[in-house]
Amino acid sequence: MGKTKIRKQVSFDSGLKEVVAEEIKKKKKVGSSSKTAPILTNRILLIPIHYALNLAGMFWFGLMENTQKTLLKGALNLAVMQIAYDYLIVRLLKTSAKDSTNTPLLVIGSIIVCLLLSFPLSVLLIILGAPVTSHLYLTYLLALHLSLIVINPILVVYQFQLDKFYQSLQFSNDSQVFKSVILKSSILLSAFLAVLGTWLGVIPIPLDWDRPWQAWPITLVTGGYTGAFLGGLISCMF
Amino acid sequence: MTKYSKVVLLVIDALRFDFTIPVSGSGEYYHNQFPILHEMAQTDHGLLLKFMADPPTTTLQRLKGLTTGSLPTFIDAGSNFNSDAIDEDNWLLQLHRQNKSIAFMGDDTWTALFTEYINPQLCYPYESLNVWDLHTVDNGVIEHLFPLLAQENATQWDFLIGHFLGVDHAGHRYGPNHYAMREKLQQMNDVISDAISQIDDDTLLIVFGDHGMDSTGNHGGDSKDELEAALFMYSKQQKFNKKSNSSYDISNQGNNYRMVNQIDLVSTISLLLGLPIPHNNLGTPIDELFTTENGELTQAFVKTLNQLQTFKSSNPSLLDNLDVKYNALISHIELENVEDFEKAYKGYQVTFLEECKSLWAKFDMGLISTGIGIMFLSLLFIITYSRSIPSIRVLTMSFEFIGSVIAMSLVGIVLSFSVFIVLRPDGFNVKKCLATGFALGIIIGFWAPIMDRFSLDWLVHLVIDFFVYNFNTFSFLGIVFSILHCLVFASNSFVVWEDKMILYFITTFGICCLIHCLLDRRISTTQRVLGSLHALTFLILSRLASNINLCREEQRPYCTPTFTTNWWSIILLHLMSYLLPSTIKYFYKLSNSYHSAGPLWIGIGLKFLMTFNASYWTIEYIENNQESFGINKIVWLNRILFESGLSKSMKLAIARLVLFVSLILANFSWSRGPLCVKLDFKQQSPSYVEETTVIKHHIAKNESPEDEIVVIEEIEEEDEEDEEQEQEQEENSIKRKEVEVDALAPSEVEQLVKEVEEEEENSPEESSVPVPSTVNAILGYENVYGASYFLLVLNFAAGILLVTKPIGAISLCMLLIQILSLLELFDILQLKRNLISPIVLCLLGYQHFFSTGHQATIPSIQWELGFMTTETITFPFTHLNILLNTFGSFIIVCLVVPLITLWNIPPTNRPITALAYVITNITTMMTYHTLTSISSLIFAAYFRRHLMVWKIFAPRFMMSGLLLIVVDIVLILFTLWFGTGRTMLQVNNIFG
Repeated sequence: MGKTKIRKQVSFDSGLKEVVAEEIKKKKKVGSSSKTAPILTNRILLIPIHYALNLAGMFWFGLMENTQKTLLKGALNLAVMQIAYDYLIVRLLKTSAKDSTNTPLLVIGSIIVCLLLSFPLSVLLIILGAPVTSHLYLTYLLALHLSLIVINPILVVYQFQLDKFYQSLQFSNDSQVFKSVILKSSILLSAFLAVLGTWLGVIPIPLDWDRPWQAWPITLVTGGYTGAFLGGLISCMF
Repeated sequence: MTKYSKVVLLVIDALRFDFTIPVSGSGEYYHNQFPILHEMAQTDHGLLLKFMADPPTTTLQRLKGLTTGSLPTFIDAGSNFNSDAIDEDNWLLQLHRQNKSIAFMGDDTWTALFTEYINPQLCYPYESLNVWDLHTVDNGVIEHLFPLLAQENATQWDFLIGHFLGVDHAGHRYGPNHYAMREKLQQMNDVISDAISQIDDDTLLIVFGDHGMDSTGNHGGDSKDELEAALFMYSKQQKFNKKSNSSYDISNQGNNYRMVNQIDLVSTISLLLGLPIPHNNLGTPIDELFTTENGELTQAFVKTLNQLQTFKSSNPSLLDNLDVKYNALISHIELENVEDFEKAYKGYQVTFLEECKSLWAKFDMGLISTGIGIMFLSLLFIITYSRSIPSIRVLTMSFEFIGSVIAMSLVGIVLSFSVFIVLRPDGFNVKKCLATGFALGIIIGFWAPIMDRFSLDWLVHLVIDFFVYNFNTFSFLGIVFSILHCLVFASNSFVVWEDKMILYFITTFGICCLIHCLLDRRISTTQRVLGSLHALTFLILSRLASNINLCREEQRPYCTPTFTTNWWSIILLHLMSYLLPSTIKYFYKLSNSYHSAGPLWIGIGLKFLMTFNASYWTIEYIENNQESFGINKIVWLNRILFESGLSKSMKLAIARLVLFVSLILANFSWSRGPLCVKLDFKQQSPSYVEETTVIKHHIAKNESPEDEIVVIEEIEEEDEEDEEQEQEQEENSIKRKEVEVDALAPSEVEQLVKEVEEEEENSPEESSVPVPSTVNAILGYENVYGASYFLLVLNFAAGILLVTKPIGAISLCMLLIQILSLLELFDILQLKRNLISPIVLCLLGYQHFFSTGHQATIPSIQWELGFMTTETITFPFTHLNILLNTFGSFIIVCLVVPLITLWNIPPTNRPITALAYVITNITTMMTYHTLTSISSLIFAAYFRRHLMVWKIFAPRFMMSGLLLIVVDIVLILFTLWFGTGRTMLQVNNIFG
C-alpha cells in the first residue's frame, strides 16, 4: 500500500496493443478448433433428390387447387423421406463418434425438434412480412416445410451439438466463413440456398398475372425446395 | 331556337350518382337520403342521368370541362389551388356577349375563372378550399338563392349558378359513411325540393355533381366512384324526350344506368339557350332534352357537327380518316333518314372524341431525353463526388464549386442562347433552350474543378476500388436494394405494391443485422446481446409500422386499409406522448448523455409538444364524432364547444403554437448549441492519495455508466489484481473501437490533463495525508455530437408529428425509435462508413411515407391538413403543412443522416474527417434518390403508351421528382449547413 509509483500515461495506447495481441491469439485458437463443418464422405449420395420429388409431387397432386391439404400431405411425406435422408447422413458422417451415437434417437429427435421449431419459425416469418391477419395456417405449413428442409439436416449432421454449429458459423470475416464453411458442406450450402430461395420466392407474388401459382405460399415453398436441391447439387462441384 | 329563357344551375360538389338513386336495403349514411331527384325523374318533367367526369376529378378541371366542353390536361390537377382566369371559349362568355345577366353564389372557383362574365351585383363567392367548414358556403348559397328565385327578383338574372360544397367537404373530412353526410344530403334534398317548387315555367333547373368521391371521401383520380356523378334536369312546362325505362335501370346501384359525358352538358346548354356552341367543345347534345318530332334533335346534332368541323379545321393534327366519316355523314343528312343519321353522327362523335383523347397526351421526346440525359449527368457527378474524391479534398473543393458553377452556368446560358439563335433546333423554344443550357452549365461547373485536379482514369479506378475494397455483405446488400428498387418501376404491379417491397428490403436488412450480431466474433458478449435486441426492436417495429396502410385503388381487394382515425389511435397518441420521450431517454442513457439539454428537450419540450399534438387530435376526434359521444344532444355543451367556435380556435391556437415552438423557437435555441454533457465531481471516501494520475479513456459502453465516460482520476493505489481486472475490462471494450481510438483527440485529453494538474497544484502535496479524492468526469462525452444533434431531429419531428394524422403520428414515433436502434446497430456492427447505412435510412423514409397514409397517387395527398394553422389558404403556411405532412418521414430521415457518423463518437480533433464522412453519407442518400428518380423517369417515359401510365407510372414519377427536390434541399440546407455545421462548431469550440 505504501509504495508509490508514478504512472502518467494515456492508457488506451497500451490497451490497444494488448487488444491486438489478444485478437491474434484468439484467431489462432479458433482456427485450430471448430472452424469447419463435419465432413461427409460422399457428396453425390447426399444430393437431396427427394426434395425435387416432393415438390414435383405436390404440384402433381394439386398444390394450386387445394393448397392447404397438399402442403400438409407434402410435409408428412417430406418428414418420412427426411428420416431416410437423416440415416444416410449419419452413415456418411466421417467422425469417430459415429458408432457411439444412437442413430434412431438422433433422427426421431431431430424430426420432433423440427416440428416444435416450426412454431417460432412461423412467428419469424410473420415478423419478416408474412400476413398477420389471414393465411396463418398456410404460413405455419410453410414454416413446417422450411424447418424440415433447413433445420433438420443441420441438427443431424451436428448431432445436436449446437455450440459446435454456432462456433463454426462465427466469423470475423463473413465472406470467408461462407467460403470455408458453408460452401464446403453440402448440408449447410443446401440450407443456405433454401433460405435464399424462399427469400427470392416472394418476388413474383405481386405481379398482376393472376396465375394460381402466385398464391401464398406456393412460390416460397417452390423457392425453398429448389434452393435446397440446387445446394446439394452445387456442392458436388466443389 | 331558344327553348328556355332561363336556367338555374345548381352544382352539388361531389354528388356521386348512387347518392341520388334509391338503393334498397342499404343502411349506409349516404344512401337513400336524397330521394327528390329520382322521384321527380319518374315524371316526364324530370330527368336523372349518370354524369361521367373526365379525370382528373378536381373541381377546377371539372368546371373548365363543364363550361368549355374540352378535355383537361393531366398536369392541370396540381393547379387546383391556383386557378387563373379561363381564356377559352365557353358558354358563360357567350351569355355575357348576349348581354344576359349571370347570377352566381357559392364556390369561389367560379369567380376566379369567370369573374368578368358574372353580374357583379349578383355575385356571392365563398372561400372554397377550407375543408373543415361544412356549412358556410351552403348557408350562403341558400341565403341568396331563394330571394333571387322569388317572382319579384326573377327578372334580374337570366342564368343563375349556385355551387354547394357541403357534400364534398363532408366527404373530405369524414368520408361518405358518416352522419354528417346524411345531414348534408338531407339538407340538399330540402333545398332542391324548394327550388323545384319555386322556379317559374320557363326556367330549366339543372342539378349535378361535378365529380364523385371514393370510399374515403376523396377525389382526383379516375376510379369509377370518383367519375360517376349525377345529373338532374327539371322543367315545369316542357316534357323531356325520355328513352325506354330500361335505360334508367337503378338495380345494382345504377350500374347499367344511362350515362352521358360531362362535356355533353356544354353543347346542350348552348343549344337550349340559343347560344353558339363553344369552339373547343367535343361533347354531343343530350338526347332527352330535344324532341324528335320536328327534327329538333337532328338540328342539334347538325349544329354540333358543324362546330366539330370548325374545331377540326383549326386543329390540323387530327387524322384524315375523320374526313371520310364526315363525308359519309353529310350524305346521310341528304338522305334525311333521321335514325341512320343519328347513329352515324354518334359514331362520328365518339371517334372524334377518342382521337382527341389519344392526341391529348403529347410526349415531347426531345425534352424527355434531355431530362434523362441531365439526370444521368447529375448522377454521374454525385457518384464521383461522394465516392472517388478523397474525403479530405471534398471540403476544400466544395468552395471552388460555387465559383465555377456560377461561371459555367452563365456560359451555358449564353451558349444555349446563341445555339438557339443560330440553329433554331426543332421543338425547342427559348425557355427550354435556356433551361437546358443552364442545367448543362451547372453540371460542367461541377466537373471543371474535378477534372482540373484528377484524371478521369484515376477517378474511375477510385470508384472501382471503392466497390472492390469496401465490398462486404452489407455493402452488397445495399447495392442489391438499390438495383431492386430501381427495377420496381419496371412493372406496374411492383409500383402498386411498393410499400410491401420496401418492407421486404427493410426486414431483410434487419434479419441480416440480427444474424451478424449473433455470429460476428469481433463483437463482445454484452454488445452482442444489446445488438441483437436492437435488431429485434428494429424488425418488430418495422413490421408493426407496415400494418398501417392506406390501400391504393389498384391494391384492392388484397388490401384492407387501416389508416383510419379511431378512438384507440387517439389513446395511443396520448400514450406515445409519454412513451416516446422515455424511450429516447433510455437510448440517451445508454451513452450516458441524458444531461443538461437532454432532459430539457426530451423530458419537457418533446413531452409537452406531443401532449399538445394529442390534445389537438382529441378535439378533432370529438368534433367529428359528436353523435357517438352524444354531445350534440346536450345543447349547452354543444353551444359552448362547437357553435361558439371554441373548439375551432383552440385547435388553431394549438397548431400554431406547436409549429412555432418546434420549427422556429426550438431550432433557434438549438442553434445556440445545447450539449448533453455534465461535469461530474464525485467525492470519494478518504484514502491514501497518490501522485499517480492516470487519465483513462474508457471506450466501453454498456457496462456501468462510469465506464463509459472519460475519467480523469486521481487513483488511489490499486492492488495488482484490481489492475489486472481493469485491464481486462479495457481490453474488451477497446478492441472493438480501434478506429475510434485512433481518431481520438489527443488535444482535449491534454487539456484535461492540464486541468487536473492545476488542481493538483492547488492541493497539498503531502502524500501521507488522507484527503478526499475526487473523480472528475464529463458525463456524455462519448456521444457528445450525436446527443446534441439528435435534438435537432426531435425539433422537426415534433412539428411533423402535429401535421400527421393520429395513426400516422404513431408510425412516426416508431420511426424515431427505429432510427435510434439503427444508430446503435450501425455503431455495434461498424457500419458507420458502409454504403448500406444511408440506404436503409432512405428505405425507412419510404416505409413511413406509406404508413403515414400516403401513396404515390394524387388523391392520397392529405389536402385537408393544409388548414390546420390557417382557416384560409395562406401562402407559406398551408403549403408548409402539406409539405410537412407528405414528405415528413423523408425530412426526418434526411436530418438523421449525419448521425450515422456522429452517433457515439467523442469529440474529435479532426472534425474535417468527420465532416467528410457526413458529406459522403449525405451524397450517398442523394445518389439513391437520384437513382430511383432516374429509374422512374425512364420507365414512365418507356411506358408512356401503357394503359396505366396516368394512374401508376406518371404519379410515381411526379412523386420521385418532387421527393428528389425536397430531399436535396433538406439535406444541404438543414442537415449539412444548419445541423452538422452547428454541432461540429459548437463541440469543437468547447472541447478543443
